[in-house]
Amino acid sequence: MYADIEIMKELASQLFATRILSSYGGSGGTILKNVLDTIHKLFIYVDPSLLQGKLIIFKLLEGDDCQIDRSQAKHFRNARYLAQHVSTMSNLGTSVVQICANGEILFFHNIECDLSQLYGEAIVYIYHDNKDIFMIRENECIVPNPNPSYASIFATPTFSDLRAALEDYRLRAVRTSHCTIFATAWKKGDPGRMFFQNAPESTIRKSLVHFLDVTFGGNAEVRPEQTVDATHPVDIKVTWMFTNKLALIEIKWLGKSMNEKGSITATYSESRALEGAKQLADYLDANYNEVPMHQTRGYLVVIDGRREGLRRSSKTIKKSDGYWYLDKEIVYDPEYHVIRGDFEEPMRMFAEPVCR
Amino acid sequence: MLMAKLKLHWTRGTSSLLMISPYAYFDALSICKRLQSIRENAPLGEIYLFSYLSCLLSLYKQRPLSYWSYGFSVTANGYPYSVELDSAIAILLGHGLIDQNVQNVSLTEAGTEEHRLLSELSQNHERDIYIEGACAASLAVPVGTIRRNIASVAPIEGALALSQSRLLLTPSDLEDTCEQFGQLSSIIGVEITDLMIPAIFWLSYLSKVRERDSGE
Repeated sequence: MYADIEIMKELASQLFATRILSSYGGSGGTILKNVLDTIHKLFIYVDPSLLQGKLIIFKLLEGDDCQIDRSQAKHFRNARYLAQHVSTMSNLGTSVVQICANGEILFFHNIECDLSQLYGEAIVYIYHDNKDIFMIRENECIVPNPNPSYASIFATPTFSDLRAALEDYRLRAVRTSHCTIFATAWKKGDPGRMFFQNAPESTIRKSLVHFLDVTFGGNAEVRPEQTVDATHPVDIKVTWMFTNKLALIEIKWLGKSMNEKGSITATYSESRALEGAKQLADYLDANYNEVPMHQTRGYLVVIDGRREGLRRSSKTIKKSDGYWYLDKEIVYDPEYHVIRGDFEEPMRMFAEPVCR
Repeated sequence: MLMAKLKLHWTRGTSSLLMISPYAYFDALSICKRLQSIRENAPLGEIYLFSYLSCLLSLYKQRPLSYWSYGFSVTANGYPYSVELDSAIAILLGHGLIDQNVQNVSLTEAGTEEHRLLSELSQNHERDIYIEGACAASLAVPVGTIRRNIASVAPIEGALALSQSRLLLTPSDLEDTCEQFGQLSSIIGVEITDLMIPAIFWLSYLSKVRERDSGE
């Protein structure tokens, strides 16, 4: 792979870390590490999507003295104690966290203070309106978040358990179509999320692969469309390092898809999920024949976009119809997850519509 | 210090005799300690991943490959792997210096003390700079993204595509890596002491290249 100097130069002018290095020098990099460590530890315990107001975290390049009146501060020994305090607050207003040179943390709740003077002498991070921002001297640098299912890039968890990761995918990415990739599985020009686009399978798969890629730890490899044997490509295969563990994920979607001409191209109901279960059971059997020494578990993910009374001409949907299938669990026959030891309980992920 | 007792010992493998690498032994302890501090747990596989990234950072600082003193290969599943690290981890587990709970490993009290003592040796000071830079990159880049980006470099991607293991950092790999690092350092400098930023920069560069190549 040759080095693409143009990409490097462009990146260096945009990336918060290189911009901080260029503006504040090497000591800025070291202070940035302290700030990132505090953000990281805080967001392990406090979900930033629940924060109301503005949170500012800074550390001075030298010393601890600045214009903020320290008598207003609450003192914490580490970010974990700070997180316990912050998590009890309903509204932060504009709250400021100062990381001191000795590691102590000062918290100023809802203060009125002009902090612009700090921008030249501190590494300043701001979390506001679901955005991660570094103030680099007078310039705002917004940190891109590759996985907007999480409100901050610094709050992306690392899962080691696949089922826990899938549960989070259900809640954060699918339920309100918050994942930017998943959101494109819906038909263009359908703000009510009633119809999927024609053949949305690959988009849904890409969304889940991306989610697992970012959130799964360094112990596992996530690969789309892997063959189980000569003729069976499973949607996603997860392999764990240095073990004989494997997971096969089969994805099925329920609901209606529509092409650009406005014709319904597919209607999938509960029976589609049952087909998926049978297919996954067959994959597991085929996989056992191919790699008998591996411990393989199968996961059936059912993306449920069913709406009641949906017609081709529907432009909007009532809440009662849109959420009709919210709690309608699928009854599997046979129940592979009960009768087989390698089949996880299927996970139905209801994707909510936007109703009138 | 257990390492001192072990230094001259040979461990008997199933088919060959392996000497414990004191560097791999220290690296495993040090990576484990840092990842634990960042995330409270350290999956075993990440010790190999971050050791490989640390080794790359030593190349960024223009150290010869021999400085790292042990090599890496890539498994058929696309993970960086080192036999020397593997042996060191086995010793650390066997002597209760690290604990393994399902997939995660953590330093025990004895392991923390062992790390403290070994950190005082001058030979380990410099290694810690590379390890610190590599592990700290995970404060800014999700570990899954680090893993994916490292796996996107040609030698690892190729091994994965062919489902074949192979050695890493061969002369041709090194040429490519050093060319990239040469360009990176011409932009941000090689004299930088804290290596978190070069690590973040390189990993972000790999993301951009992946986006370019996949047409995203």
